[in-house]
Amino acid sequence: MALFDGHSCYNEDIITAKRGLEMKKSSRQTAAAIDVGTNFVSMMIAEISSEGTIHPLEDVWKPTQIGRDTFSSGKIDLASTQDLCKTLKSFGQLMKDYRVKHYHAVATTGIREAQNREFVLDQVGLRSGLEVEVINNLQERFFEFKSMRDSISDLHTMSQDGLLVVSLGMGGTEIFVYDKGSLQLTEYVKIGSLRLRELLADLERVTLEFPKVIEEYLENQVYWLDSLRYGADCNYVIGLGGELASLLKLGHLNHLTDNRFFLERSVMEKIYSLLQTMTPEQLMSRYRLHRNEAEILLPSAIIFRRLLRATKAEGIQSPRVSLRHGILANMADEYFNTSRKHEYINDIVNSVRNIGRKYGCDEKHSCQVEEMALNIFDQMKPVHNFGERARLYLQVACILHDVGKFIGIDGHELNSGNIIRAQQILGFANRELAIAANIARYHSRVVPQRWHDNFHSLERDDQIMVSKLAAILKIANGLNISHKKSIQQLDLQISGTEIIFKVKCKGDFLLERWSFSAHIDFFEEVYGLKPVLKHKG
Amino acid sequence: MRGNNPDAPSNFINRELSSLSFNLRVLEEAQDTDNPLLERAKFASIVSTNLDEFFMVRVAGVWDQIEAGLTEPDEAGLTPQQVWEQISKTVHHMITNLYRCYGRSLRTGLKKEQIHLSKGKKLDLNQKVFLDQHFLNNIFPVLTPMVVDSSRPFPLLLNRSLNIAILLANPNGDSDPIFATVQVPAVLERLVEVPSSTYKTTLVFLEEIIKENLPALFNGHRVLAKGCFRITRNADLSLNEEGAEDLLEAIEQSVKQRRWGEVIRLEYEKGLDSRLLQRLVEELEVPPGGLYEISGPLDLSFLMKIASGHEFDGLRYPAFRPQIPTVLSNSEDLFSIIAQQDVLLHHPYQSFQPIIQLVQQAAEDPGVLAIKQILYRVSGNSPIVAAVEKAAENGKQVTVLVELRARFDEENNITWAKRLEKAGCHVIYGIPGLKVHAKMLLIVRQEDSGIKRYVHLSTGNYNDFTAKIYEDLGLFTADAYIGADASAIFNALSGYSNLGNLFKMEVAPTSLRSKLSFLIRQEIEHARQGHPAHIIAKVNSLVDKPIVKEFFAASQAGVKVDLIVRGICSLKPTVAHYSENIRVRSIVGRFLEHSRIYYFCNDGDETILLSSADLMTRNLDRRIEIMFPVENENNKIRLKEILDVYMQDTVKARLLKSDGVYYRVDKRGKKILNSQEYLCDIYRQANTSEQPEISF
Repeated sequence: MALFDGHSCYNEDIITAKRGLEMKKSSRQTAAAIDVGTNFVSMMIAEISSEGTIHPLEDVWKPTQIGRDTFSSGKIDLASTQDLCKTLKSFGQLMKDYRVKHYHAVATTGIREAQNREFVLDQVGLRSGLEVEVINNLQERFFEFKSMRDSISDLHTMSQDGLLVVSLGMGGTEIFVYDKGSLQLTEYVKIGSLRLRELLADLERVTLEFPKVIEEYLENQVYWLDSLRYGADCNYVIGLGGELASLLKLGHLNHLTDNRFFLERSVMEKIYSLLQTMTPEQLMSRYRLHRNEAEILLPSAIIFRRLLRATKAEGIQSPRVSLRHGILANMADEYFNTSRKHEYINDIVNSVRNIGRKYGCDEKHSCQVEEMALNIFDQMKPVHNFGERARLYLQVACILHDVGKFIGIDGHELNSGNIIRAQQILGFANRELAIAANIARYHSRVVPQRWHDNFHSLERDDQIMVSKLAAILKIANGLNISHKKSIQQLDLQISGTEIIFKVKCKGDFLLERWSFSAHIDFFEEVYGLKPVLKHKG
Repeated sequence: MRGNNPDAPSNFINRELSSLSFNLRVLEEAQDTDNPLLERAKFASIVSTNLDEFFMVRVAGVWDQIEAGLTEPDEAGLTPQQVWEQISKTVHHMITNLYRCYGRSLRTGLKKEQIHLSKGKKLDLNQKVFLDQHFLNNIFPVLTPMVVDSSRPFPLLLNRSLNIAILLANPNGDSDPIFATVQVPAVLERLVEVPSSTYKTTLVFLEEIIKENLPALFNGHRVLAKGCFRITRNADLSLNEEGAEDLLEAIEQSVKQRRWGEVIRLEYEKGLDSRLLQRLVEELEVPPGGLYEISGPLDLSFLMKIASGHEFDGLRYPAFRPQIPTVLSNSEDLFSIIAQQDVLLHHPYQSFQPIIQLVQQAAEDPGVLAIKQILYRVSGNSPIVAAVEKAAENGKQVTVLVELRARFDEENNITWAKRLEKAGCHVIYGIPGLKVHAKMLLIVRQEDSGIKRYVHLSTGNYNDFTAKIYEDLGLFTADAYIGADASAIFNALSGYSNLGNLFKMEVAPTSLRSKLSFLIRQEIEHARQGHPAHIIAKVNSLVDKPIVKEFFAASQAGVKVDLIVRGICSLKPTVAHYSENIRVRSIVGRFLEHSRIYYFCNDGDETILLSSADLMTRNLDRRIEIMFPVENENNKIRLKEILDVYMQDTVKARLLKSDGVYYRVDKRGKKILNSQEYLCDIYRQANTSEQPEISF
């Protein structure tokens, strides 16, 4: 979470506290969420409460050229950077008005994909005093889902009956499938409305059949949709993304019911055929759209239509969500530790289990290892002092530690790490994926080494976390080496420089004891405590 | 029956001539013997200063058009040349009447009241000795005589300064006489009091004293002729905003080519030597028609000084104390009162003090996080500025938007804006290209139930001094939507955000105009359906052509339109087929009518809005203005009653007729009602009365 540490010299008084350390638990807090988007930079200041409510105080926005720069030239121009610094500095000023102590500023595709993003972020930090975290699509979606859950009451019913969530961004599209009440699948396609237009812009000038060109290109990218395991079973489609608003304008839908718009299949078809015949200029004048909006309408319509047709849904629901709102909801969840937070963790865990299934994991074994590892983690809490997020990394690593076996048994831990790193896990930052991947990569005999690139590229603190969590996973995996659930009870006890694992089990325990001993040295090295196994029989 | 050419020139009045009509109504107040003497003197002074501004800005603009060779007629069908001629004619007539009023009525009236304004002719010996001494000690040191000859060019004369032109005999005998000028120092009092046994107060004009002592300035030279003159220059700093709209580009071209501040008007003392006059006209390049011979002292603004003195209370309007509304006098804590109900303030009948009090309270209140305010034309030692400064010192986040482009007031604004910056306020200096004319105060306060916003919106500036003279309306509210809107507007003004959709307020130049049009059209729709339809608008000026045409359309559809326009009105009312349902009245009195109220019958669901914006194109398109609804039922009733009082006025109201002339109200069969006096009484009674049914 982007809280103030490195660049506080300019605006020290704004943010003085680090989340989780100095935050005082009162029932209400004033917080700010900043979204450095592709077309707009926006900020919402709100009062968040322990009930999870969000009461907005300010919602401000300024246009930006970031997206245009990045998607056309790959880099953010100096002028756009300066504008961004100015905007963020003024946001900081507004935060002062409300004595905002906690903020979370995120940047999405526009900055994420810029070649010069590190320099841009550095300048932003120095000039505005705000630290902006670059988030990936899945984190972005995670926040949007939080915002959605806040505004849609029947989300749960829909997710029971098969729900496809399509999030169309400027730079990419995410697809989520919910079924039986939980998240089943997430996919990301690098087709966004603005990206598509910038990509094919040269063709627009040479053909009158631009719509057809887009469609053909798109088909080439999404043909796999029809083979989706869940797609055809989806009874509901939820569409996310700002472009949808312009489509609704074309469909003359301006009536909001229960916090959402509904775009029927037939209306979608009408809009689609209308767009085939109109140029952005015509759209601008007829529907009073900005050029930005008008230009991306056609690609957006094509994408939404294509996805809608892959399901059984009667139309697309468009709830009112915003990243800023979601970030605030997340801050409320994290800060006040709400029940909603745990629902989200369940969603994440469930989608991770589905990844495991996809790679044909021995689910029983993974579960035993997961259970054992979390048990050790919880009992060792006073020793490592890690929080819930670290526990989640460990859990993900446990569930997926054997996915590499899909490729081959030999060196499978290396493949496990690689597979995990390539996954889309809702709400996981790239750094977090890397942590989970590294933990899984070290679940067997190999221990972290400085020359291991994937380990080396982690921050120092993360390296230590990975080592400590991997040490737990190694022991847990070792105690389940026979893939038979033989251990019935495990109690930990610290005695001097030793940590005693008191095990109660049935049957043969020889293999486990041997395997346990193989991981003792590494565990002792990272925790400074020597593990001793005591068998109660 | 419908007229089919609403653009016809016969439907419009030229705005410069309408502006002169307003000044004429002010002059009528100076002439009105029912007004107390010193108040009449004040009105005469206002006429004089109004004319100055009129020449500096408006007339200069017309002259620019002529110089640029523009011959395009305006809405009223007049070419710039025709306008120029009409102005000249009207002003000459007005000046004659003004000085007739001064000489025959005011001066003699003052003399009767023991205030003798003297030209220094009939002084006794004591007085002469006194003045000689005074001249040597106090006047002579600050005089700078300027002689014009081959080595010394004609001096650059200050705009609006009073000067004496002098013709000196050439010591070389037959050669041409020498021309010289001396400025009557503005740093000295225009009137010098001399001891007197005949009158309580005898005041001698400074320029007359100087004229008497000219030989001391030009020793060795014989004075052949002497006389006072005064010039008015084109001093419009914001010509781009003020010029006739569609001609803007052409004017801008010509502006670049001309010298800044050309002379537009030359006023000179009656009987000025013709040689002096000719020299002045040539040197100053006075345009034809720009010459004004004055039979009396030049520049009557000194009358304001006399009228504002501390003595002679009997010659003024009866003392009047702005009331504190009962609801506010019940508690020290304004926040708790405003949290419970919207409070409407009507100045000057009601005091400006609660606004100062609220800012002062906010400065000290530990819960207050931030104060945001737009300041424009505040008074010199403004208690508002002091309170805002204090708040910043107390660690509140204070954002102040200072509009520097208040005409003729720029310097004053810069001074205290810098002071606020020093105190730690976040000072924003306006928006490039858009003058900020909205008046808003926003206080963000942390309360037990969460963060709450308190807002004050007003039709008038945060100026405690003018709030005693200007009639304005202000609203205190804690309405969450208004609060959010005010916040969004401040964010836009501070550059934090672009302006999105607002809940209840409208802003110029984005939405205010379209909202007004919408409301007028809605009224038209009601009229077409046979429902009652009525619009009342009280503004300072009505000039914007699109709005005028909306009113024509409303009139044609059968909507009753009552316009209370204090100043310029370019709409011609009661013209058959176009504006027969439109009535225009103007009220000029003791207080300067300044509030803008917009009332729409809306088929029984009455809508009343207050605004900082006049119905002028510049206000609607090139200024930041706000418009806000008054929603509380009691406040709405009160506003309707206020409007009703204005419409019943038979004393200070004038009706504009279809000939473009303002007439007094026909009093037959009506009760005598002076709206401003009536409102004074009503508010006084409301505060002393125990009866709650009076809603004031």
